[in-house]
Amino acid sequence: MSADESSNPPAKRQRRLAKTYRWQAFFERCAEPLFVLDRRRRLRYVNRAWETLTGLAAEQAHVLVCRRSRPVTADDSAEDILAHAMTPPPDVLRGVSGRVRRLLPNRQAAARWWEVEFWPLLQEGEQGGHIILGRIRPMQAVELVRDHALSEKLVNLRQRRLERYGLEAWTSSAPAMRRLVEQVRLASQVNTPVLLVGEVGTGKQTLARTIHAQSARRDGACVVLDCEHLPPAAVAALLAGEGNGHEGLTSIYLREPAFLPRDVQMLLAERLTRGSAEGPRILAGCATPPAQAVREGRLLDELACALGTLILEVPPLRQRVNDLPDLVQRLLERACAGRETRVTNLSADAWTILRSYAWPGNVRELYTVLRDACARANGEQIRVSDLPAALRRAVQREQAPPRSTEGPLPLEQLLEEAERRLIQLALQRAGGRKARAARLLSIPRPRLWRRMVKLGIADTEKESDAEAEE
Amino acid sequence: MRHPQLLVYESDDKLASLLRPLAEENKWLLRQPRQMATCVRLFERGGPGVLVLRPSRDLERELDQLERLTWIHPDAAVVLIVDSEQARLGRLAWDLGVRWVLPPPHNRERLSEVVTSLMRPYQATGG
Amino acid sequence: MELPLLEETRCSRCTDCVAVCPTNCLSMRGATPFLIRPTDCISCGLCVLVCPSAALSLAPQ
Repeated sequence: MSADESSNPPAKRQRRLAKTYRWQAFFERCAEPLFVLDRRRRLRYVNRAWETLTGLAAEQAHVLVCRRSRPVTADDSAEDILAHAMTPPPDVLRGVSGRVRRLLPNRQAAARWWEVEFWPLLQEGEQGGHIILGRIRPMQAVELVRDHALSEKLVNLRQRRLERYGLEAWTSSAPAMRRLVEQVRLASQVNTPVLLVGEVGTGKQTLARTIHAQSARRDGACVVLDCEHLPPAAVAALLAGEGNGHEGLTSIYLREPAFLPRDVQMLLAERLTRGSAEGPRILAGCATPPAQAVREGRLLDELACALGTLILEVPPLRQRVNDLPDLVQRLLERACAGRETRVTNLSADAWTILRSYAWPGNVRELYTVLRDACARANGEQIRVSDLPAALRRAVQREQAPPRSTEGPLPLEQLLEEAERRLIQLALQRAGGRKARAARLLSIPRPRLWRRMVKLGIADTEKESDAEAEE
Repeated sequence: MRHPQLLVYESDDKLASLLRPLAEENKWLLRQPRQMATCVRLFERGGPGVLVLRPSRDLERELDQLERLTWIHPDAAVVLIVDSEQARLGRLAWDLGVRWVLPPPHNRERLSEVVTSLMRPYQATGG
Repeated sequence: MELPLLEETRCSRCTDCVAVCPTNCLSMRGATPFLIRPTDCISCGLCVLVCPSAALSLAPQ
């Protein structure tokens, strides 16, 4: 008991304890199975719903220590299987909440899958550490059909990727963006086709995946098809459902559908206007307004109409300048995901450049610039010198130094240097054998030898090799 | 410096030999990384390109790294080569951000067709 | 085999490297040079020598 509590009058303490018991009652009455692990991942609390789900009484549950990350099989004991299901992943132990899917194998019946969510709660005091609140959601049979036969690790890998497409990535103060987020929410609740219109690099594909991830279709796959850079026949075959049909594919995003051949566009338009709830949900993205593509004869009017039920306009980055700090933070995390040293901020001068640049390539360009700058940066900060010269020039309107028409072009030296490198390259390719190198260079062997001497290139050919070449 | 590069990740040389003539004809740099980490490094140095990936038995680890690769380098184009019993793996691959999933037959014609169209943006000049 | 490595923070867009390349394997792409035919590069190093801002170097691939 802390010093604070012992100095409180008994009545106050009584009231506080009573409140605590009320909170516990909330947990007890909760319809969802909940559990709490202590710092050492020992099971300290389970609610009634948990007892019902597992068939284990609270008293029996307290022996479980949830540290088992090795996968379990049907041959393991029921306790081991349960402990494994409630073992928090490493990120959770570092303080990041997470959700995983766990397989509970069973010899007598079909295996079950649980979706387990963990919330780590940092504890006071020197010891630190987290207690972990957990919630279990048994998964429905229909979700299982798609995932089963993939190992647990792969199922969780897919989860990890899916969770990258959350709505938090799109928070903004700009009204156009807030409208967009509401439209995304709406789009994820219905099945109508969605058309995303916005300049190159504004995030249309990311939004399409976000809509899919937030929708009831998230347990199926979301296919992104680059209609411009994939063989048209192959894309047509996939859309028509050849091979496996559309088994397991619940959303298809078409990047620039105007590049699809006319007959494919027609079939797609027909299918969309027929409007069956079956089959994958169609989303599409265009960099130019569809009306323009129709006028130019690249996009069929029927398809433009069929896709145009729900149109989401994605604003360019230059209209979202106030979002830059949050956006940059998020993109830096992404760019540094594979590195040990994380870049966390930019110098004031670098910020000025980022804010003043027009970003014709929008968020994609911003990400590429940040990613390359992270690779160059020394330490945690990106400086102006880490940014590409073209960016600095565009912002500061620097004159690029004039073409070096004035600079010296010492012919002899340059030719000598080029000759030296060519001879070295030929020797390398010929394994040091001069006769072979001379043939590569299309010059007589004596000339090669003279040039090697003149240029000071070492002769590493062994006598035995030279004789063999005769 | 950015250059058009075709990476082929497999346990042997089969796919690479099928694609070598195409790479030579187009003067692309054909590389055969034996580790996924090498793919990341090659994209960092030479800019994005096409990666043809045929997973081995170590598929869990390879796909884990693939997920990170497509997250950090979304501009690179990955083609996943799957066998006929790997339909579920193919579906997972779509979710992990690959540009195309190629079921059998894995002949020169089909490989070349997909690789050629995916390589187009990496060899073009201009903005 | 060595290929040119570009330090984008230094490139002044002068296009001299493209002009001097004996095998025409370089081309401009937007604001910077691009190695459009990497298998044609003979590692002669003329692009490196001619660059006014020391933005190029040859690196083994």
